[in-house]
Amino acid sequence: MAKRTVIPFGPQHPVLPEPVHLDLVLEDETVVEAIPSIGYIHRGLEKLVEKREWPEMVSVIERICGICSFGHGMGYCLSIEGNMGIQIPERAEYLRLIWHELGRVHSHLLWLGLLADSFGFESLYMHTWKLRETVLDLFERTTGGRVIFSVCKVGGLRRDVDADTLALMERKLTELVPEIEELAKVFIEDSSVGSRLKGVGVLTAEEAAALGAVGPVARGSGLRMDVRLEEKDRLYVDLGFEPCVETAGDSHARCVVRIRELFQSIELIKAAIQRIPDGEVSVPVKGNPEREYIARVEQPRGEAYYYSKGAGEKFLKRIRVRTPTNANIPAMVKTLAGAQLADVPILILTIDPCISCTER
Amino acid sequence: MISFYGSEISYFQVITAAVFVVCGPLVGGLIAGFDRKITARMQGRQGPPVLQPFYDVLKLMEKEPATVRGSQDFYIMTSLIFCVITGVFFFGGGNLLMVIFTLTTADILLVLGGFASNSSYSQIGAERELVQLMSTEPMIILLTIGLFLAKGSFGVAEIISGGPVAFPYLAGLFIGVLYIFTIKLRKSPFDLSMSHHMHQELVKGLTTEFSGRTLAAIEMMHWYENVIFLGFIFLFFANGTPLWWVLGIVVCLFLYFVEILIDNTYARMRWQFTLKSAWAVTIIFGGANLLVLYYLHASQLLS
Amino acid sequence: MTGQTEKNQNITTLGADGLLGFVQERKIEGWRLGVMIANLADENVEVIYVFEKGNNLSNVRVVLPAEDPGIPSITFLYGYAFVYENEIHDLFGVVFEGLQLDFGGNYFVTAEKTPWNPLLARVSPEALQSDDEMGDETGSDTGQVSEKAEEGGEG
Repeated sequence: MAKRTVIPFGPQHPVLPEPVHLDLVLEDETVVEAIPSIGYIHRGLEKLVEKREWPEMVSVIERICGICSFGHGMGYCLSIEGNMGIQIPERAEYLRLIWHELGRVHSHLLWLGLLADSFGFESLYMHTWKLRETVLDLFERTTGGRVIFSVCKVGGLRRDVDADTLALMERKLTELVPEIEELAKVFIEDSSVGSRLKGVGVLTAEEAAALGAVGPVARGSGLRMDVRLEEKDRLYVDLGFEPCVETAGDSHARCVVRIRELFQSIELIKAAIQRIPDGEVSVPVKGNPEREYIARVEQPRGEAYYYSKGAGEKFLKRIRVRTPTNANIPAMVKTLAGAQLADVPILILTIDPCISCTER
Repeated sequence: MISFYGSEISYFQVITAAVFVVCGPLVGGLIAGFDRKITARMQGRQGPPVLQPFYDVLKLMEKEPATVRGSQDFYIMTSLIFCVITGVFFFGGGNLLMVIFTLTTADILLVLGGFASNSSYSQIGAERELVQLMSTEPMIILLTIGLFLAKGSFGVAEIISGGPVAFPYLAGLFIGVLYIFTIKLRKSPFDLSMSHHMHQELVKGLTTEFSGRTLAAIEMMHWYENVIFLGFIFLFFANGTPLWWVLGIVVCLFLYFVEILIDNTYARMRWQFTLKSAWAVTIIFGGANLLVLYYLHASQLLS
Repeated sequence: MTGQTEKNQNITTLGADGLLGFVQERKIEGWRLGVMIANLADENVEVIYVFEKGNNLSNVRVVLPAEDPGIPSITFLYGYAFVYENEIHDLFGVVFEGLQLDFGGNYFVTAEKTPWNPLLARVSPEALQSDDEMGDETGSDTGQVSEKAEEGGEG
C-alpha cells in the first residue's frame, strides 16, 4: 500500500470559490477519503429574524448568496405570502419568473467559467465570464443592482419594468444565444475538455437518490426532479417547461444539464416576455404571519426550502432556509472518494457549491 | 584559441557564452512578457505591460527572505547555476550531451528543492515534475542522436556552422520535440507541476513554498530554460548561412506563438496522459525518424 | 408562483418513540428527506422532518423538552440526514442517538454552545459539559489529522 498523505484542501484554496475545508487523504494521487468540515462563513442570518421585522427580512435573506440572491428573496416572499394567504398579481409572477431565470443564466455562466478554470482552460473561463457581463448589465438595467437586487417584496415587487426595457432584454438575450452556443460547443464537444469531464465522478441514478442529490446533480444522473414542475406552478408548465435530464451521471452530464438549462432559461424568459400581462406588480399587505409555511423554489443549484413560522407579531419566530448545496454535500463526498487529485477541483465544482448558502 | 577541459574553444565561443549569461534572461523575460500580453488578448483581456515579468522579478528580489527550510534555497540557487552552465555549454558551442545532462541536473535540483520544502502541495508538484522529466528526456536524447547522425557531431558549434540543414532529415524528431516543447515550457495542457495560471489543485505546485529571491531565481531559471529550448529548435535549421539563421529565428518565434495558442485552447491533462502520450510520440516519430536516418547511413546517402 | 398546496403544510405531531416507524414507512414508500427544521417553542425544542415525493410533502413534528432533548437519529435510513442532524445538534443541543458521521459539535463553529437553545445551557450544566467533551474529542481528532499531514510532509 502506498504511503498516505493528507492534503489540507481549503478553507482558503485557489480552486474554491468559497471557504469549505476538506482533508483529502491521498495514496499517491488517488483520493482515498475526503473529510469535509464547514462552518467558516456562518453569519447567523437566520438568527437575525429576532432583530428584523418580517418585511425587512427580504433584504437579509437575499444576502445569503451573491449569485442566486433573487431566488432567495423570492423564496422568502413565497413563504411569507403562503403564510398570510396573499395572491400576488400575475404581472409580478411573470416578472419574478423572468428575473429568476435570468439569475439562473447568470449562475450557470459563472459556474461554467469556474469549471473551465478548474480544468486549467483559462481562456474558456475568461470568455464565459465575458458573456455573463451581458446578463449582469440586464440585471442592472431592470433592477438597479448587479448582485443584490432588492426588487422582491412580500406581496409582489418593488418596481415594474416597462415594455421597452423588456424588449431590450429580449433582444440582448437573443444576441447572447449564438455566443453561448459557440462556448457550449467547446464544453460539450472539445476532446481535451471531454477527457477531463467524461467518466469523472459518476453518480448513478440510485446513488444520487440515496445521497439526496438535488438540482443539476440529480438531473445529470437521470432523476427527473425539478420544483418547477410543481402542480400549482402553472406558469412554468404553461410556458412548456420540461426539466433537462441527462443519464450519464458524470461531470460531463452535469455540465451538459447546465448548458441546456441556459438555453431553456433564455427561451422561458423570451416566452414570458411575449405573454406578460399588464397590471399592478404588488398588492397591499396587512397583518402579520401567524402560522408555519414551507415553500420550495428551484434555485440554479437545485431545490431550496424556505420555512417560516410566524406568531402574529412583527417578528417571525423562525426562518429556516435549506439550500441546494447543503443537500449536495453528501454526493460530493461520495464522488471524491477514489478520484484522482487532478479531478478534485472538477468534482467539487460539479455540485456548484455555494458554501455561504449552506451556512447562512 | 584557449584550451578548456581538453577541447579547443575559440574566443568567439567565449563571447557567445557570455552574451547568453547576460542576455538570456532579457530575451527570456521579454518572451514571457509578450506571452502574457498575447495570452491576455486571446482571452479578451487587456493584459499587463510587456515588461511586467521584469517588474515582478525585481519586486521579488526586494522581498524579505522567508523560507521553510534553508536547504530549499540552496537547491534552487544551485539549480539556477546549473541552468546557466547549461546555457554556457549550449551557446558556447559545447557538446550537446553535456548540455542535456547539466540541464537534467538543474531540473533534478529543482525537484529536490520542491521535496525539501515540506509542504504536501510542493511535494506532489515535485513528483509531477519528475513525471514530466521522464516524459521529456527520451525525446531529447533521441534528438541528440538524430542530430549526430544528420550532422556528424555532438558539438553545437559544428552543428550550426555547416553541413546540410537538419530539418528535412529530422522531420519526425521535429514533431516529437514540438510535443515535448509544450511540457518543457510548462504550458497547458501539460502545466502539471507548477502552473502559471491560477486555480490549480496544487495551488502553485512545486513552487508553493517559495518566495522572494528564491522564487525570482525560479522565474529566471524558467527564462534561461526557455531560451535554451528555443535554441534546440534553432538547431534544426542552422547551417551557417544568414538566410537559415533568420529563418531559424522566425520559426522559433512562430512556434512559441503556436505554444501560446495551444496553451489557450486546451484543458489541463492528467499526468498519466502526459507520460503515455509523450512516450508514444517519442517512439512513433522519434524512433521512425532514427530508423530512416540509419537507413540513409547504411545506403550512404548521408555521410 | 412556486406556491404549495395547503395539504403540504400539514404537520403531524408525533412522540420521539413513534418517529422511527413513521420515517421507515416513508423510506419504504420512496419519499425523499427534504429538510429537517428545528424550532424553539416555549419550553420545547421541536424538530420538523419534511419528506417529499414529487409535488407532495409529508411533514412530521417531534416535540422534545428543551432542557434535555434526545431523539433517535435517522441516518441509518437516510444517510444524508447527517448534515441536518449535526447542524441541529450544534445549534439546539439536540442529541441524536446513533448518528452516523458525527462531527461532534464542530459542524457549525459558534462562539457559544447551542446558541439557539439557551434553556439547555441554563438548566442542564451536564448536557453542556458533555457537549464540551465532544468538542474536545474532535479537537484531538483534528490534531491527529494535522500530525498525519506532517508525517506525510517529512517523508
